[in-house]
Amino acid sequence: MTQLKYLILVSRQGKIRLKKWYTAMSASEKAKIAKDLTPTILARKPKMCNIIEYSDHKVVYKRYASLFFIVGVTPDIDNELLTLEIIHRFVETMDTYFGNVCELDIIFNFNKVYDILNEMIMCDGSIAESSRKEVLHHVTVMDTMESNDNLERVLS
Amino acid sequence: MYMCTFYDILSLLIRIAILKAKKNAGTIEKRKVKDTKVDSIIRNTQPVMEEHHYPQNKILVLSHHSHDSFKTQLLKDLFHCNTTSASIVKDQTWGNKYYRTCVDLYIDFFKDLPEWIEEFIMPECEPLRNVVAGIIIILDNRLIKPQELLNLFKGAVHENTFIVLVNVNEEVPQDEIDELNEIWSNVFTNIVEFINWTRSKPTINHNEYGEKLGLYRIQEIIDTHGWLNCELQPITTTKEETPRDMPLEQIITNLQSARSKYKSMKDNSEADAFASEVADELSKYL
Repeated sequence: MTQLKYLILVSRQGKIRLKKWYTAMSASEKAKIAKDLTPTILARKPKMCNIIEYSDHKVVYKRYASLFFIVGVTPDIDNELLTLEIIHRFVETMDTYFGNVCELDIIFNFNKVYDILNEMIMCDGSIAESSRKEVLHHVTVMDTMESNDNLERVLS
Repeated sequence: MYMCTFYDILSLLIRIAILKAKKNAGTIEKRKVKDTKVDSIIRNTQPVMEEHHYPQNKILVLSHHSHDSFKTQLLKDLFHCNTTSASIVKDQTWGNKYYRTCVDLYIDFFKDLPEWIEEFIMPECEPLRNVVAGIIIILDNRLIKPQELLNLFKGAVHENTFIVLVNVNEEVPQDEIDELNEIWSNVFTNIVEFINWTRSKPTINHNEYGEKLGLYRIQEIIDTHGWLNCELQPITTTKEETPRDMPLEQIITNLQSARSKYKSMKDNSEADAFASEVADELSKYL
């Protein structure tokens, strides 16, 4: 069982590239989390533990190239190691979709990244689909539908 | 009547093939629809600049005279520019798989770097500082203390300007560069990064975390830079060009309906735009 609180994707320079909130929070709370966590995690040395305590919950993060994937987890419900696996599966899925994903891919295709994430994790923060193949299939179907819609729009 | 229809379809197919060939050759796709996805991304990722509306597209490259050869190599490798002297090189194209833009290279040298920076941060230079997208300084980390320089820059350069310090001393290990990056990553609101020139070779251009190093990292910094007030020409990515499945009969039917709509249009320019858009959309299925 998982119940993620949020997922934030931050570049090495501290620029937030993606944010997804799975629990109801006010705008100021969200801003505070992003503002607090970004420098805290960027300042951590590579060999340090990937799990930290923050406020009333734990934060699991993982660094991939110049990007930091930061996930807030619910204590006593989420397993931190499983959260690391979820992050890794998310990155693997993006890697397959974009072909060696980089920061630029995420900047210019953030809608696709959200699509992949939405296929994997439900709005309450629990895992919806763990199969990379299934997630990619759904996203490809969405791409085809979008493309067909464009053609329909032109012809109509 | 049948021959006429067949001829029209054939000509449209030829047109589609030409269009597709152009795309494959990497031709920039200037989209006619105003609010395209890429346009909106570019608009949303660029903060509103209230102070001025000049494009922030100047990249300043400077080095000591003794490091001129490194500077020449950097200009050649990064910007495909063969200039060797201090000068301004206008309208250099910077491109990647998503966009192309024009940058101006301001190439300079220094005898004493702190002195150069003190001149640069004078109020008279503010208009220049506001249009500088990034500063690349080639230096020897053993001879110049980076912290002294960066403190001078602090608060003086535009918040969107990146600062890259390229160390050319081979004796400086990557660990030392990483440590400097850790120290300075949170001090500035600007992007400040230390790069080791010796890690520019393709065999050692990544660290254990998959991060790019050397010139490849500079390229990545420039690629992900938020170009203020600059015109970015979107490039159709290969991802979108992946052929999709549509039966041939369906393509022919669509072409026929497009043809009849084309014929019913009275405005020639509108009809041409329609034909071009249909060709563009249908080419994705061929």
